[in-house]
Amino acid sequence: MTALLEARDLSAGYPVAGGGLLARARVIPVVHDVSLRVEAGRTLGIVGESGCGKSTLGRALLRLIEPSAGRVLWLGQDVTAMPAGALRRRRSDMQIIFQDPVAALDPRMTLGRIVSRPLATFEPGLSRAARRDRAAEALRLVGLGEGFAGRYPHELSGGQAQRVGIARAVVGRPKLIVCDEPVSALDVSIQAQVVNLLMDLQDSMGLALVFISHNLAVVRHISHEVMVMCLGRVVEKAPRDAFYERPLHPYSRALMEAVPEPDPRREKGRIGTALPGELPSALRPPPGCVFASRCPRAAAICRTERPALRDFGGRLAACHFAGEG
Amino acid sequence: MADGLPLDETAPPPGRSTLRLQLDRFARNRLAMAGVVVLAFIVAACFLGPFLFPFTGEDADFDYILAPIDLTSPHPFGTDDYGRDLLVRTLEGGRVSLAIGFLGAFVAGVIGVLYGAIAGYAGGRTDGLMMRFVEILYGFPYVILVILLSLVFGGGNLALFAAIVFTLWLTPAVIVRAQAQSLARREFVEAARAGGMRGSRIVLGHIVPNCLSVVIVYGSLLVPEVILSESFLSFLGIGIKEPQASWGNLIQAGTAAMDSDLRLLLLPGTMLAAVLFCLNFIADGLRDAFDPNDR
Repeated sequence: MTALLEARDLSAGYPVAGGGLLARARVIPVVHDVSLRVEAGRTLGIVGESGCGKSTLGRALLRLIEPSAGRVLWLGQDVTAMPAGALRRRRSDMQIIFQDPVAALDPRMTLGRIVSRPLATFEPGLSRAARRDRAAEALRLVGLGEGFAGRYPHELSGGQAQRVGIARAVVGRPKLIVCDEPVSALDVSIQAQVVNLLMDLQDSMGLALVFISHNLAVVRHISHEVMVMCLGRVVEKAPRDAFYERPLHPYSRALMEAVPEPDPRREKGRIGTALPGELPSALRPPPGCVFASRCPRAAAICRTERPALRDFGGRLAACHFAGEG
Repeated sequence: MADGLPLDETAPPPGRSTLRLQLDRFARNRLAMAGVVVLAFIVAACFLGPFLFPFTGEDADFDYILAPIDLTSPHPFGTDDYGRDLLVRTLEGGRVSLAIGFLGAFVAGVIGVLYGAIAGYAGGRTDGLMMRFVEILYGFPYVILVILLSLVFGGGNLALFAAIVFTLWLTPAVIVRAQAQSLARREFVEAARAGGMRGSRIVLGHIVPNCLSVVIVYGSLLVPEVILSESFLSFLGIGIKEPQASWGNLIQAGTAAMDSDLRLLLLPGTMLAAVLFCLNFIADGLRDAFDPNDR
């Protein structure tokens, strides 16, 4: 069976300053050799600390930044080699919502125009009135009724703005949405609302989601499968329940232990949650395991030899010692 | 499709665009509004005033050569040494100066904005090449460039206009390019790309409108710059040529006669100064109203 979206050994990065008029700009690699599959109607959660390449991966999957190596397949068709025109039309199937909901809306446009704009590209046959109706329908779907279409982004709260972002993403009836930290900038009370909205839409539209977050609790709530990234590499990938029951990689364990305990008495009794050691530079990645410099279990081999992703009965982990208890 | 969330009960009052809010804020600035009123009066006087007189600024009246200011005579502000009415000449000169000022600023602004927006959005090598080209043009000495262009265009108003636009589009291009560069990284531009928009449409639909604040503010400073630059060139004798009047060459004629008769300098000089003051007050007000740090 072909997956909806599949990435094979995908790498991506950003050009750094220093490339002159004639010199080729140097590219800092941010994502290395990531492979993943997303099936229709399923959610893949991607977690990791800031700067681990989650967002870059999300954008590379949609070719919003050009991957430097590897391939992205959409229903078995290579997107990485697709010419610009074909890609533009294909974008109706794969949308994105952003971390900063207000920055994701053009401050000069009304919400109605923001939401209906993608239809002008994806369904050029629609009349202006039909586009407006579809935009109103999408706004209603995210809980924003009559009267919002004429408003401007600066008149919205963060949660409302994020729902407009979702309305824009679903107006073209996509099959997959990359959610790049969609709730990190929102109040806790609003987070649940937005996450539940995404899950409702997933159910009703059969959407696949790639849910990028550093919030383990939210990822647990929404995901079917969880992928952990560290310094641009996948260190663990597992079905949700197996992952939360027993993470195999020491980095995943460290992430889980870093979640604060709401009960102050239990919080006090918790053992060392802050990781010692330095986060290695993305410019000079270590030769061995990406986590070796901070890992409590690191041995000599971890600093010299990079562990490959190994299969542990339906789940993957990249650690020399994984599965040893 | 899903039933959706329960609708937000607070259906808000009709939306007000950022531009609307900014213009409202501008309207509350008294000094700037006074500038608008005075400027409107001067513009109206320059374009309509000369029709109130039975003669044009190029008609010589030999009965009144170098007439002094006398509000009861047919030439209330007197005449110059050819017997031409000074008030009418100043108003007619104002037409030329104001037209070149606004038109020049507009054309230079449009070219600069588009160029800068494209360079800033495209980024990378395209941006590098486009901006190096601007820097090369910056390197040309202004006056020499004007003389060269008037040679190419064979002199006349068109050459002057071309020369002014040619030199003044550079700064808006640089300003807008910086703005476009930061806008290009904003998420709504990324969303537009995810929505399948072409680069050209993103530049026109998202980048340029969001540079509007900066452009309006800078444009209002560009108008006096163009007027001054026209006056400067006419003053040097490579701008508007006699007998056609402009504030530049009127002031030049006035300075030549300054020792004997200050009157010839005073009227066009005051008009030019008044317009420049107004435009600067307006620019100030626009900058306060459009300050991007405010929102």
